[in-house]
This record gives sequence, structure tokens and C-alpha cells, in this order.
Amino acid sequence: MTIVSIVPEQFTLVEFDAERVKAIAAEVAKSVAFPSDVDIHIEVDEVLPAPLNSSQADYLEGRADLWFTGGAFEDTHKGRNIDEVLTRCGLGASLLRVKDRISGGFEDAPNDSEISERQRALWDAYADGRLTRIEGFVIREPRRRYVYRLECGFNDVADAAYDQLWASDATTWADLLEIEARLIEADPTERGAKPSVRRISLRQTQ
Amino acid sequence: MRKQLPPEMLARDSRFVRTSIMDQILDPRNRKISERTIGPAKLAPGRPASADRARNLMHGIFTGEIQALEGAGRTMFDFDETEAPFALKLDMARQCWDEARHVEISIKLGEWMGTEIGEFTEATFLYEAACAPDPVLRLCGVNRALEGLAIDVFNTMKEFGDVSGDPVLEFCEDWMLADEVTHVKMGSDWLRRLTADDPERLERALDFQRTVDKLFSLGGFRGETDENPVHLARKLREMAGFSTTEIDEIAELSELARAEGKAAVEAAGSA
Repeated sequence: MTIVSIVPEQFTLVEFDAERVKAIAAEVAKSVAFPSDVDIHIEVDEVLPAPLNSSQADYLEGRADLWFTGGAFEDTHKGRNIDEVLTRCGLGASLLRVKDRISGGFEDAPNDSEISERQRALWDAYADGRLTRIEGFVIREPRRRYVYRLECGFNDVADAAYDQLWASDATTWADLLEIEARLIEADPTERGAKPSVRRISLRQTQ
Repeated sequence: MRKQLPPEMLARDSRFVRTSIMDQILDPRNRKISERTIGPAKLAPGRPASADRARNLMHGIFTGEIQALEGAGRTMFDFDETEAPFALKLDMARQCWDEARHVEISIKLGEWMGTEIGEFTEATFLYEAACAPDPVLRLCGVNRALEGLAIDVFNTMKEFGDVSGDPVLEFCEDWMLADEVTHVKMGSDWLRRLTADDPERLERALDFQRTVDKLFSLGGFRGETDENPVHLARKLREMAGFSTTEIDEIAELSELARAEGKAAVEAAGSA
């Protein structure tokens, strides 16, 4: 039976209910067939608002280690309040990616803080594509496509790779690296690593 | 039909959700964010969450275009020909045509970037600058301040499209930018003509513009450093008829607005 934990246990800057987030995570874990013997730890940085949306999903010390900015769950109409549809999707995509890391062909993938923006965009397209085929998730595909194009290029090769990943149910980290090599050949523009708001945040708060 | 339409009476369907600047200023997260170092605020593809930040700004441009259309339209309608000559109204009508096209382009760009109409909230402070009772003040508020801000925002988005390799965004922003330059120039020309024999009215109008320019700097949203998401487009502003002195003054007002915004956040946090 999966145990879900969350930090903070009580939100003070936003109107999120930690218990509700945990309940949503438990529901989502069942929907995406997340292994029931793996616990889930969620950290939400409530200081960082929308549109500063960011997340990380790792498999550390035998548990799913998920991190989100508060903005990733925030209602864009009613600031500081939770958008449960968005929260479900964010948790769903993250849990699918942790599942990939456990036994879905991504066992040798580096942690999220170490992968490139392009690799992350490819993996997110693969995760969101699968989520759309699971009942109960409302994914904004055009948003995902735009985020993807910004990182992977505005060209036909990148678009074809996106469609391939979106439709796939069995991609591996090795496949993803092969796709990345094709994209770099099509658009060699150097895209520098973005500073991580998580890493900087942690340093600042310690 | 009613003249001098207040912002709360603007026609919007159920997709649009209003927000106020005060809600944003009083957000308790602001003070905490200012304690963090999350890097330069300038909107650029290499910044964290740049896609969602660009989508948010693009939606702001879209609602801003609607309000610019409404502002120019009201100036055409709210005054008789003794207050606003027919040739001025004709220019405002031409501007409405441009703004309507910009609204359509902005909707298409929003779709291109994966944004739905109404996905983000709308603030009406742009239209509020178009509610002055004197047409000369309107020209300063709308054509020089609002359209001047549009030049800065469009130029920032055009650069974003250029650096990210997004040909659609870069192309569309460049075309809209060209229109905005003519709108500012139109405002500057009419300001001179309508106040040629009335230096006091000219000074009142320029005072109003300073107030609006400071308001539109949104506590540091616009400026000339990496701390400002949107940058002053000096060259394009010069093309639109702003003097170097005027642009320097806007830069100073922007810096002042940033300092005041920071103080307001700290005051709200300690209250």
C-alpha cells in the first residue's frame, strides 16, 4: 500500500490543502498503475507562483521523490488556490516518469536535475501522451507542443519526433537519446542549461 | 449609447476573468520571492519556465489589444468635433482597424503557443488610462503611454521569438510592432496640433502621461536591466517620435516604479 507524504504539511502562503493534495496523489497513483509497494513523497515550493511552473520526478532511496513549484498546481483564474485538474495532470505525468525510472526502460536515466531541457521536453511529451489515453486526465496538448518546440526546435524533424513520442506506450531512455541526436542534427542551435529554481531555492532557504 | 464608459462596463463573455493590481501587490508570496535569487527576470528562452511566462505575457498582449481597440473607439465616440476634430477621429478609426487585426493575430498566436482565450486573468488598467475626460489626455494615455508600452512588450516578444527560433512569433510581433510605432507617432502629432496654442493643456497632458507611464512600469515590469521582464525599446521609440530626453524620463520613472513596488511588497509583508 503506497504511503503518500507531503512537505509542507500545512501551506501558509497559498490556499492549498495538503491532505487534499495527498488524496489526489493517491487517486492518481491508482489511475496510472503506480507500483503499490513504492511510497510517494511530494514537496511543493509554495513561494513560487504561476507561471513559474516547474517540477522534478526522481526515484530515490526506494521512493518516488516529487517536487513542484506552487505555480504548477495553481488556478490561473484564482491566484493562490489549487486547480485540481492541473494538479492531477502534474502528479500523473510525474508518477508515470518515476514508473519509467523503476522499470519502464528509464532505469539508467540521470536524475531530473542532471538531464537537459531537451531531454526533459522529450520525456514530458512521452508522459503526457500516455496520460491522454488514461481516463480522468485533461491534458492541454497545444501547450505541451509549444513547450516542446521551444526546447527541441521549430522544424519538421522535431514535430515528427513529438508525434512519435505522443503516440508511444513503450519508449526507453536509449530511444530518447537516439531521438535527441536526430533533433540536434536537424537544429544544432546550442540551448544552454536553464538555472534550476529548485536548486537555487534550496540554497537560499538553508 | 453611453459616453465615458467605465472599465466595469466593458463587454466580455464568460471566458474572461478580471483581476486587480492590488490582489497581485498584496500576494504574500511577493516578499518571499524577493528574498530568493531566481536569476534575471528578463523574459528570455533560457530562463526557467520561459514557455509559460511567454504564454502568460502573450495573453496579456491579447487583452491589452482589446482594451486599446476599446480606448481608440471611445475617443472617436465620446467627443464632439469641437473637442476632437474629424481628422483625429478618422485616425482613431484607422487605429481601431489595426487594433482589431492585432486582437485576431494575438488570438492566433495564443493558439500557436497553446493558450486558450481566458486561460489567464485580465487587468483593465490599460483601458483605465483611456477614460480621461480630455481627448488630449486620452492621446497621451493611449497613444503615447499604452502604445509606447506595446512597443516595449512587442519588441521583447519579437526577440523571444528570434532567440527561440519561433518564426511565427517573431514575424507576427514584428508586423504588430510596425503598427504600434505609427500609433505612437499619431498621438505625438495630434498632441502637438491640439495644444499648439495652449501650453498649459500640453503640460497637463504630459503630466498625465508621466503618471500613466509610471503606472505602466508595473513596479519593475518594464525597465532597462535584467531585473525587468520587458525592456524599453529605445530605437523603436525614437522612430515613433519620442525624444531621447523623453525616453530617459520613462527609464527613470520605471526605476522609480520598481523601487516603489519593492517598498509596497515589503510594507504589505510587514503589515
